Order: sequence, then structure tokens, then C-alpha cells
Amino acid sequence: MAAGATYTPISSYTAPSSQTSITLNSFTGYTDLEIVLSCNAASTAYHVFFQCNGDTGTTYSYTILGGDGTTAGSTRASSQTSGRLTYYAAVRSGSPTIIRMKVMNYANSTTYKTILSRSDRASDGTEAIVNLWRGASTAAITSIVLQPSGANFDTGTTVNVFGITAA
Amino acid sequence: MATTFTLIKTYTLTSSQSSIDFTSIPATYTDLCLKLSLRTDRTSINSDLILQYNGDTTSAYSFRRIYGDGASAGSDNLGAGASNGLSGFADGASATASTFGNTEIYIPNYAGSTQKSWSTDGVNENNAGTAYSGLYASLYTGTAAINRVTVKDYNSTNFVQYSSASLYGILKA
Repeated sequence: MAAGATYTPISSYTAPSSQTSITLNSFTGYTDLEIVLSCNAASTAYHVFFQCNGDTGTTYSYTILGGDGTTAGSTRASSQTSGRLTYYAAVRSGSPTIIRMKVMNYANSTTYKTILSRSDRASDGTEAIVNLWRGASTAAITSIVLQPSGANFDTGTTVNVFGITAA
Repeated sequence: MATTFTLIKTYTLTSSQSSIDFTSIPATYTDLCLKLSLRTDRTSINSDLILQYNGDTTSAYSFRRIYGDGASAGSDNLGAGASNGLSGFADGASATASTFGNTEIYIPNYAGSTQKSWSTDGVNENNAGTAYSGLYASLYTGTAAINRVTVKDYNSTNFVQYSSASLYGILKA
């Protein structure tokens, strides 16, 4: 069997200026998505959330495992209006906060969607987060809006999207 | 269709050596991913791995991590000033025979002119009561493009035969 190309670069975005949100779409034809964010902040720190398909209902829940360099901890929230990508690892000025999202089986229309993420900032903390989106009618994910809370994505924030294809 | 996740270099050790050195890394990719399967001759079940970039041994590294050993979880840090970046686990000589610790390191924007944040997931494999796993957030304050990555054991022991390390280049759209 010939090997097929996978881990295909789909899109790349670099914020040319301060952004209140970043919308990702046009990622059809793959099995899973991996999204790599390198987030910059100006003077005010912020956290990063997301919504799928513009859904603002209370359809998101998440479990966080992380640490701040002194104490390890875990927390959880359900029936939220957005998914969460940072808790211990805030985005601050000085150096980027890294977020890697893995959106599993995003195009199926029969199950709710799980998003795994890792977020890291050496001056704040490290964490792994499991998000669940219980979208209406278990719809395929066709768009993801990344939303900072507390400040904006600063200039130079990058978002690279990759598609992974099953055999 | 664009090609990405390209293998730059892989090493599989045929004898013990004190470090694994990726040199002359081209600046043509967006991110780097380093996948490690390592065992050392340290008399312990595990070894802590360290990274050095561009041969820089100045006080330019810091990290925070969470870890577990099968019984409890914790978090520690080195706020600033380390001469290397603690980043993942290898198995030590006291771990179950023929097992190797596994670590994945992701380095975004390695060729940029800003400070370099990187992310690590690492585990120590051991068929006994204790084995470690950890997640790491790390920072290298150097602003030059990374063209060399050196992997060592924190305790300066040797990586043993069959240890392997592969460096991949990831290209954005």
C-alpha cells in the first residue's frame, strides 16, 4: 500500500494587529485536526477559550490537570458556554504561551466531540485539558473560534492548523 | 500537497554515549518535534533529561512541570537561571530490563528571533511500583535561531545502546 501524505498543513495565520478572536474554518477532508498556537500578549494577561460552529450554548465541559511549579492540581467545569485552553498557563507579555489542540474525529456527525490540549508557559505553569463539546445534533465541526478572555491576542500571535488523515 | 513532519535526523545508538547532538538544523521549517526513546546507565529507575540549544550553557533556561510517580503528583520549577532545560525522562539502569523512557518535545518557531518556549511530555517505563511521568513548560531566553539541539542526562551518565532520538521538521501552510 502506498503511503499517503498526512499531517498536512491546512492554514497558517499570524495576527497583524491586536485581535479579539481568531476564526478557523475550511478544514474539510481530514480525520483529526491538530492546531498549534503561539500566543502573545501586550501588557495585560489573558486566558484562551474556544467555541465550535458558533455554538454559544452551555454545551462545553472540561477537566484540567496542571501545575504552577509548586502545586499540582485538577479542576473541572461543566455546562460552560465555551471550551477552555489555558488555566495554569496564562498568556503574558515577554514570551509566547504554547497551546496544542488535538481535535479528534471532528467531522463525524454521530458523536459529541473531544478536544485534547496541552498548554505551556514556563513562568506560569503547564497543563493538559480535556474538553467536550456537546454540539446540537452531534454536528461535524466546521469552524472553531479562538477567544481570548481578559485582553486580546497580540500582534504576532500565530495559529497553524494541520490535518491528519486516517488510513 | 505540502509535505510536513519531515525527518531531519535520527540516531540509534550502537554503544553508550554521553549526549546526542543534532547539529546544522536548517531554518527552513516552522516548528521542530523531537521524539526520544532513551535509557541511561544511571543507578536509578529514571534519569532526567536536559536540553541545550546552540551549545548555550549560560543561565538562559527555565521550566515548570507537573509529575506523578504512580503514588502522588507534584509540581516543581526552576524560575530562571539554569544552564540547561530540564525536559523529559529516560529510563535508568534500575528500571525493568529492555525498557526505555519516552519523551516528545515540541519547539514552535525555533528559527524566529524571539525567546523560545517549548513543550515536553515524558514518561519513564518500569514494571514495578514506581514510574514517572511529567508535563513540562520550558523557556530558552536566547533569541537566535536554534540550529543545534543537544540532549544529555541531568546527572551526566551515558545513554546506552538502542537508545534512539529523532528530530522532525514541521512546516506550516
